Amino acid sequence: MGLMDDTTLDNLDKAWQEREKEAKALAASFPATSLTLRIYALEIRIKTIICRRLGIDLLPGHCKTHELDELIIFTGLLGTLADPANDGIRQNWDILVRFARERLNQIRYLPGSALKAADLNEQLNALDNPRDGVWTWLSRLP
Amino acid sequence: MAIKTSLRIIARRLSEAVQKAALKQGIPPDDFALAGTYDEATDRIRLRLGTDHPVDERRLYADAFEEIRRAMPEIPHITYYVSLVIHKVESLEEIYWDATNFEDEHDLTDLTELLNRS
Repeated sequence: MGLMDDTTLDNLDKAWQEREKEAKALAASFPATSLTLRIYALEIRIKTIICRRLGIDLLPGHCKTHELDELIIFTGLLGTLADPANDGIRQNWDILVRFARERLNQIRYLPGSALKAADLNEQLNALDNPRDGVWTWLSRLP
Repeated sequence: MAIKTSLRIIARRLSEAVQKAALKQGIPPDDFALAGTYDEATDRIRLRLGTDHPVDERRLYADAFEEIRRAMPEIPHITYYVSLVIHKVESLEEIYWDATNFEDEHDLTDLTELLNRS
C-alpha cells in the first residue's frame, strides 16, 4: 500500500484546525464559504483519525479521496455508525456525505446567497448538534 | 458483495421497508417520494426521501433503518451500504430533480417510484 509522503499526520492535524479557525472567522460574513471550510475540515480530520487508528504518520494512498463514505471505512468507525444506537449520528452523517458529494463543488461556483438559511442550518446542525452531530461525535472519540 | 447481483430485489425491499416506516409515522404513500441511486464503484445505495407531510425526521430515519434491518436479515451489513437523507419539500417532484451526475451511478428511481405508487 502506498503512503503519501506529502500528507503527514502532523500537517493534516494542523490543517483541519486551521480550516476550523478560518470557518469561524468567516461564519458571520460569508456563511456559505464558512460551511465549505468546515466540510474540508471534516474530511481532513477524518484523515487524521485514519492515520492515528492505523498507527502511521503518513496518509495511505488509498485514502486520497474526498469521498467521506469511503474514508470512514478506513477509520474503523463504520460499524459504530451502523449501530442502531447511533441512528442519530448516522442520520447526520448521511446528510453531510450527500452535501459533500453533491453540493460542495456547486457552491464554489455560486454566490453565497444560493445556500438558503434552512439548508445551511441543516448542515451546521448535522455537524454540531450537541447530542448527535458528526463533529461532536468525532470530538468525543478517544 | 452480493448487492450488485440482486439489486432489483434489494431496491424493492428497501422501498417497502421505507414505506412501512413512513406509514408508522402516519405518512401515506401518496405523501412521500423516494428516489435513489446505486453506485457501482462502492456498492452503495443512496436514497432520498421527500415529504410534504409533517414529520419527525429523526424518528422516521430510525424507523426506516429498523425496517431495513428487519427486511434483510440475510444481509446483516446492509446498512453499511445504504444511506438515507430525508427532506421536507413543498412539492414531491423536488425529490426527483437531483438526478445522478456520477458516471458509476445508476438511477434507482424507477424502481422506488413504482413502489411508491403501488
